[in-house]
Amino acid sequence: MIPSDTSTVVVTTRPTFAYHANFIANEVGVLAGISISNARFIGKPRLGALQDAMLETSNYRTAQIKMSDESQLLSSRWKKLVLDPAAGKKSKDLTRTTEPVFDALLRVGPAAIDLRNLPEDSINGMHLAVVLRVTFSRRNQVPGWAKALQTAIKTLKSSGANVELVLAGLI
Amino acid sequence: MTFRIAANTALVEDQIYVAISHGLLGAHLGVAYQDEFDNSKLLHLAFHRNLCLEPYPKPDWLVSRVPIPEELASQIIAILNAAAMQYGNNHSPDGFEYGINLIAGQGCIGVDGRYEPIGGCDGYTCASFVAEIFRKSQCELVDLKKWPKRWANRVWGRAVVCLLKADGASAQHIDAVERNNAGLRLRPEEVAAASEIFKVGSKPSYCSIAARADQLMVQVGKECNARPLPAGHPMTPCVDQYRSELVKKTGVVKIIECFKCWMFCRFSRSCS
Repeated sequence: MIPSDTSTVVVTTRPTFAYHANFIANEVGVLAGISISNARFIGKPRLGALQDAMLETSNYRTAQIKMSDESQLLSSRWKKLVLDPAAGKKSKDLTRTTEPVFDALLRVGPAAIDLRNLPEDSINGMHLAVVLRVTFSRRNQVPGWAKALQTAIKTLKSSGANVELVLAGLI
Repeated sequence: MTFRIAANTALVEDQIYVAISHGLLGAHLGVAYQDEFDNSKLLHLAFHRNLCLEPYPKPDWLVSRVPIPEELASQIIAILNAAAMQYGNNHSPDGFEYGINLIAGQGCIGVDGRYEPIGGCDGYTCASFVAEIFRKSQCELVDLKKWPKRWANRVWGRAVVCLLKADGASAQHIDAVERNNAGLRLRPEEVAAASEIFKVGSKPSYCSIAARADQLMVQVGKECNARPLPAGHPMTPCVDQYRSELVKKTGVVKIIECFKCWMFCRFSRSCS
């Protein structure tokens, strides 16, 4: 949040958005034509500072929208087969999920893999399993990871898959 | 599972293979699999900042299927496909470093597959890189808590430092590798031996694979042609020095090494 009525530019992040902060800060810096190390996140009131803050607020919002759009685009790519119960389970099919997952992780970070609110009745257990496997080491930063694991267990059980094998090392 | 000549072994979809060949200081290791376009690939850390993704088969390699169930192998291959697309044949300055700190090396591949040297990590060897691929997929091949420190590994560590210098690695990296030379090493043949007996949820100790690892080295020597470095290559003196140091190993040192291994393995017959 950036207060626009002060010259102090403060980027406040909730813990769950902490990984966004660096990306947004960099975007603001780039858009404002300044390096992030020179960005004034905390400064004393001075003439023109208010205008700077407003400019940076605008850039912050632009960056936030840009990132949100990118996250949604990436999300729609990696979720495509996760939400397709009929999708193939061969490695070449699973690669169509892991490639956009890696892409999202590289561009945005673990928060881009939002596993909250997955519709349980239209989940592909294998594709969800590989997403959980890729993100395992950062599961605390992936929204909804633990619940998604339970969803995967349920879905795989109902499809007759060997849950212990598919989720080996995760459960 | 047994190791066979790669040229005579076609890869099967959704199966993952470990491949072994001659290396400069012993053996060299990689993983082979069929990618999403049905092309057979060999992924191996050739040396410092040089992760190679090459067409399979290559001459003078042996290969063996890792007995991983298809449900799990398909996931590992999908992860490898995505990572290899991003980082395969990456010779950039932020590519995988060649280093020997076995324990600190665990966890230095980030969630996005990038090399993230943190907490004393100085990189990977070809063998520890393969082990880390499996560990990263939550399918550990070996139990590093049960690995002995050996005199011969210290000699190898010094040779790695020499090779890094010849390769033009940064002074900072060379210093880090030199500091980490404590005699702990995961050899390519040890990873290869462990991969043969892979079982979900079980991690073989050094003692359970040591004898098989020695057999594999004999097989590599018999069935794969060694490719010596061209004359005048800057790494040649390092290889020569390494070999001469190993040959100098006296009878007394051999007996001590063997006794230490025997004690480590609780008097089993694994130690040669």
